[in-house]
Amino acid sequence: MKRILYIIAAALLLVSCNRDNGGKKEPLDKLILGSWHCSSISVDGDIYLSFAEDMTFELYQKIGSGAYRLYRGTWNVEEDILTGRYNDGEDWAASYDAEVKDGKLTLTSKNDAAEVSVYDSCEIPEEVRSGCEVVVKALNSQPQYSWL
Amino acid sequence: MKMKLLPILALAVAGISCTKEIDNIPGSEQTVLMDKLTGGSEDQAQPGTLLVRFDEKTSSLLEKNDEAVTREILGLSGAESISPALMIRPKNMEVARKYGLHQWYTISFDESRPLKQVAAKMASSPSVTSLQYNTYLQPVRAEQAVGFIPTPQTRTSPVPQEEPGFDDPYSSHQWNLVNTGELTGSVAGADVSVRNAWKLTAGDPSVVVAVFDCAVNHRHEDLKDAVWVNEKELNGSDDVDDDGNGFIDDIYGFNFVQCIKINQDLVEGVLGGSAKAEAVKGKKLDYLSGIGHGTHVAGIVGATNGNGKGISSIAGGSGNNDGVRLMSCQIFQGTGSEAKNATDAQTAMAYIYAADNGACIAQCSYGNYLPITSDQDYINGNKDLGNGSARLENLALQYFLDPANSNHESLEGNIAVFASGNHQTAYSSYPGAYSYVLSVTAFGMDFQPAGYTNYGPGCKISAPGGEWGGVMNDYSGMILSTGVNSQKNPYPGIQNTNGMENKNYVYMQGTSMACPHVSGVIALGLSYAKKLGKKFTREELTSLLLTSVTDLDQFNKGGIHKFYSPFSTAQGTDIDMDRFKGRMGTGAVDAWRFLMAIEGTPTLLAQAGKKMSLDISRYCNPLDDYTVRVDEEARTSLGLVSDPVIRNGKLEIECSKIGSGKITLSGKVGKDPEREDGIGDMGYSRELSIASRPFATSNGGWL
Repeated sequence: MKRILYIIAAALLLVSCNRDNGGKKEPLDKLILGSWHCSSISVDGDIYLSFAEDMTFELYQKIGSGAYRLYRGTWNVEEDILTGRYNDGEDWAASYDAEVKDGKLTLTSKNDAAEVSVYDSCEIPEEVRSGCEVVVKALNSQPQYSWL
Repeated sequence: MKMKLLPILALAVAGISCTKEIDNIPGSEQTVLMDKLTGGSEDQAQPGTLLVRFDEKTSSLLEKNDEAVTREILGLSGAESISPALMIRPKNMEVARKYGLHQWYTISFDESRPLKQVAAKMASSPSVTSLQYNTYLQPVRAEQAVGFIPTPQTRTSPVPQEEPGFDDPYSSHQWNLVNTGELTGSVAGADVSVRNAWKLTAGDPSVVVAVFDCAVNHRHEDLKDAVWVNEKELNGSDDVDDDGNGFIDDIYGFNFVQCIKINQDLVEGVLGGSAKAEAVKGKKLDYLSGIGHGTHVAGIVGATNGNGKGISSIAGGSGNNDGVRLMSCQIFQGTGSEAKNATDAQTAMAYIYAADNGACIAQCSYGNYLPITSDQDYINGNKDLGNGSARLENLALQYFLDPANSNHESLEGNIAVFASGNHQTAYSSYPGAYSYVLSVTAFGMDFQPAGYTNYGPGCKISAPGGEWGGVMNDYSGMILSTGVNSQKNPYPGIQNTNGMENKNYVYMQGTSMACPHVSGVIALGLSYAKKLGKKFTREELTSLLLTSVTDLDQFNKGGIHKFYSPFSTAQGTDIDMDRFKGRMGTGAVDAWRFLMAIEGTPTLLAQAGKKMSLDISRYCNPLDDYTVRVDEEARTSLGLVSDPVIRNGKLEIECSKIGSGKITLSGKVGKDPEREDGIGDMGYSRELSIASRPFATSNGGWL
């Protein structure tokens, strides 16, 4: 009995240690790093996302038919809210409540729609990277396009 | 108005009365002749022959070799023989009948007899419904070809390693395929945008491109594996029609000018001296095609890629013998005083041959120099201007285009592509200006219209044609392709490092060179459609092509631009660039966008409840004068507040709810805005999907 009590006490201690080290819990801006594939998309399309440590992102999207288009830009996390801006200076259409759990990234748009998108951790296939169009928009100019 | 017209009418009357006297044709016959003769000048026509169309009853009797009818016709005209103008195989007769091709006959007579006199006799017969002189063709000149000199390099640095491409050693000189902007004055992307398209397909042998031109040099190291080969004739006996198609020894195509097999021996200068003279005398060999125009054109479409030799091409395969195939339909021989071009009947026969023997694209870098400015004048000739008619050519062209003659599993019908012309004329030459075919204008390595190009009504699309002058005052701004290593070739050849001359690779410029770029891109598109298991009508495919373009006007800054054109003037010409704006066709051909369009309909994202201005430039040339059509289902699903419009190159749309649907953009190209009865237009359209979401950005990004 005494032995069992020791084990329970040790377990409680561990739990409290974790809680005490809440600041050490892997923060979202670390958990989100890497690449993701959208598994729940509301239109006919395919989305890959990657977040890098230098706070840049890459978004490969194919909506309908045609080539994947690559958008680049910067991202930020504050209080588990994910925001971003495309390289052309346009902000993302929404900010997101972000959660990483069990290898899945869930983004919930912070607007009336509260659209939920789930992404699985996944490498971006080489054919997607190599076959995409790069959308390069300079600020205050007409859009231009180049290729990978 | 009356005051101005009177002198003109007086002159016309005087002209007719003079003609009467000279021709010595009775007035009644003259009237009937003028009614039935479809224009044309005797000077442009083959002597000793006339093309005559009989009514259905008479042609039916002639088909059955009715002796009485034959005798009557020969007696009337004093002709020596009468024969069908075209050789039509029984299995294709049904399609031929649609265009009345079976009713056309050639009557032959002594060459010394005036054509008009014989024509008047024939016209007097009620069984003759129309007749025409058998006029000769004229090629659109390549203007100038310049020998390819490997040094200096045309790029300032080697081709970047990450660029997909082939190991063809001279490909780095082909700005027309991949223009990185490294050349002085060039603009990155002023090419056919094929680099990324090659990731998806580089051609398919099922696509046969018929080259209507001089003979293609089928022995060229970079073409010998790309030419179309009639295996039955190749493995058959000499001077025997082994495949029974009516043409003897048509291994690589046929020489329609002389009605003989295509033979490269003299083209390449293999024979010389007495052997050459003997061969020429016997008319057994084609000795005049050595200028290499057809060979140059063919190389742009499909010279073999990845063989470690020469150049790359648009649809020359991936290096695994999987490029498109090039059929030689020879309708031109030689230049200058040695020129011997096909007649209208011979050209018509070439189209029928191409249709009957598997070609799905007619690559036609030729056109008429005469001032033909309407379909009517092209088909019937213009009696006032003395223009020759090309009615038979036109009917055969329609036969080639007909869906019943489809020659590719991914295309219903066939496609014909023509050069617009090299005379800075403000309309396309015919046949390119004809409403059912494509006419190609030319731009240079700086995306500026080439100084020589025709433009305006009839022009449908633009492609690299190259330019000596413009931004590069040397050959490197022209188009490099395969050449003919012939003593007859007037163009300088490669100066190798050892000082030896080699004309296997030469530079040329012209809409003749722009034209095969479009043929090559279409060939690539059909290859990709086959790969995807898709099929299009000719109208659908050309619609996708004409909308998958880069807007040329954005690069045209207007004002005066100086072009140096050594072939036309010593010092060049100053050109007002404004003249080209909106008149080069829909824009610059773009292989990548074309393949993407073939893949399917793209979707644009809009935000529900907000008026959006969406960028459509990646999917089609954003023209404000598109008509936007929305079907009722889409209108309901998207809850459209008003009809979408194109404004400032963007699609303005306001959806009231989340949904999806398709819209269609429709446009027209080539119409003469000043003449209702002038050159006609070609309609085209493009379908786009719209998906409205709770939120969306204007740049189309998902997040």
